[in-house]
Amino acid sequence: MSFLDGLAALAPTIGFFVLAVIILVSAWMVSHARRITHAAFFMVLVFTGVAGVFVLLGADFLAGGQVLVYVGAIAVMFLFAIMVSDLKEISDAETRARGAGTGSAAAGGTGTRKVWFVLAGLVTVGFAGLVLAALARSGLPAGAVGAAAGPGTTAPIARELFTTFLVPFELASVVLLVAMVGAIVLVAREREEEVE
Amino acid sequence: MLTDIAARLQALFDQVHLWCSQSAFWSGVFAVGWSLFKVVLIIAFMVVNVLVLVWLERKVSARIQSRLGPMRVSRPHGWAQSLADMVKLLGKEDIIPRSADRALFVIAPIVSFTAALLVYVVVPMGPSAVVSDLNIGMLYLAAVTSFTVMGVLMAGWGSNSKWTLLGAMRGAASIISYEIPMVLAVLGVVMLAGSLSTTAIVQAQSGLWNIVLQPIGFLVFLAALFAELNRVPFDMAEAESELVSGFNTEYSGLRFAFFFLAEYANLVALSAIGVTLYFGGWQGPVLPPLAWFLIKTYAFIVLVMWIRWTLPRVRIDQLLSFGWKVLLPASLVNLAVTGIYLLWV
Repeated sequence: MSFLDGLAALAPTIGFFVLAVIILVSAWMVSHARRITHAAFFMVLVFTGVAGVFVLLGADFLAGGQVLVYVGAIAVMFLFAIMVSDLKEISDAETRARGAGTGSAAAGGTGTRKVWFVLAGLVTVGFAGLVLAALARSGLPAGAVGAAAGPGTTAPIARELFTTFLVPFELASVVLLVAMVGAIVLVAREREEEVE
Repeated sequence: MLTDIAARLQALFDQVHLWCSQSAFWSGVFAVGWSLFKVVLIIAFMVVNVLVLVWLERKVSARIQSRLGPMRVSRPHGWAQSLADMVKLLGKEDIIPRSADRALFVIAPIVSFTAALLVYVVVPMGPSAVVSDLNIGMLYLAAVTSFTVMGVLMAGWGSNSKWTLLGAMRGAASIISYEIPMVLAVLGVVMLAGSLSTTAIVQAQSGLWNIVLQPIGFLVFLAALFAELNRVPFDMAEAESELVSGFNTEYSGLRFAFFFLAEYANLVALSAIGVTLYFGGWQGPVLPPLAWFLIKTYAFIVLVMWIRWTLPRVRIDQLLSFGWKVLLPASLVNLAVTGIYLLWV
């Protein structure tokens, strides 16, 4: 019976690793899926998996926000961009790029590829080190987020956002607003030129 | 008699619960089993309601158009029509177009169905009759409806047909545009209740229903509801007079049945949410909470059907400009007025 109880105690950890595998595999597929729409849908899976991790940490409000913003808005925007863009054009460009790749392979294409692999590896290791160092410095004990949150995280998050982090929060919304207005202005100008 | 059975079941449940709580493992098994039981219960509730609703919709539309509607399958008033329809749907050939994106095509109905199922988690049918009283209830609801868009987009893209793609893109555009005013309208109710939990929202309306306090919010919610549900006048994803049948044109048989089921299940769920938010949920005199919940929800559904069979479809540009230029400002004004009321009045 104690073995079974141990298994029950491990349930969150098992859940975490299942989610981690889903997230990592989906993230790999985002960059390696053959069709670009599949990549976008795998990205949805990544976002949802991250929301699952938030749930495991007891950060339910963050999980809800994650799905609402990333799945409901950002991923949909990606899909729209893919669907309205001329896919024939993309595949043509892709084949041309591939043709160029095979052409230059004779002139040391594999060499440049190796350099890229090494560079990507270095960046990955460096970034992972940075994240680990930040985690070690912050001294967050495991499960601290859930314990601090208590029954609900909505009120504490709101309190922090509108007291401690009021200025960064408002600045972030201004930056987003600027980006939005900028995008509209740019598109509107293009439209006008087309009409003329 | 009925209360006797209920008491016995309660006693049995308590015994099993007590026995299971002796060890961590068995209490885990109990939790999983209990959740599975709830899921089965929800699916049963969903299917029964959908069967009733399909018949009801045909009857309501017939009444509005001075027809009789289904009369022949069993008496009175052809009540078994939906059952016959279901058998027909299940018996149909399952076709996957050769040029379709197989994976997306197969997954899309499942995503749509799951999204509809997930909404039921926070629908309160009585003081303690809710699958899970999440303390982020309304946020959860807004998040889950995002997956509805995913199902529509997957189906539209995966079918590899111009009708489905156009339907999916229009549908997704209308759903995400109307989600914003809807969430802002709901926020007014959340501010009044001081909680995101659906149960707390119902309890906050024990004196006065929110429809009295939030008339603008309710109108915005009702308008956005039609876009979320893909119903006329905002049924952009289907638009059968222009796009054959919109995003699900290429589907047949069981897979089509899943979309059909999801659509009506969403109608029940969002009507129930509307009742929860603006009409005091399960609360009412004399009758038990579940009865009040069902009466109000069905009244709301009939209202939705009535509007659906009365108005013509709007164009996509009219739909989007109405959403952004009328509903969004209205919901913002509603939010501001609610804030001022809560702070100073």
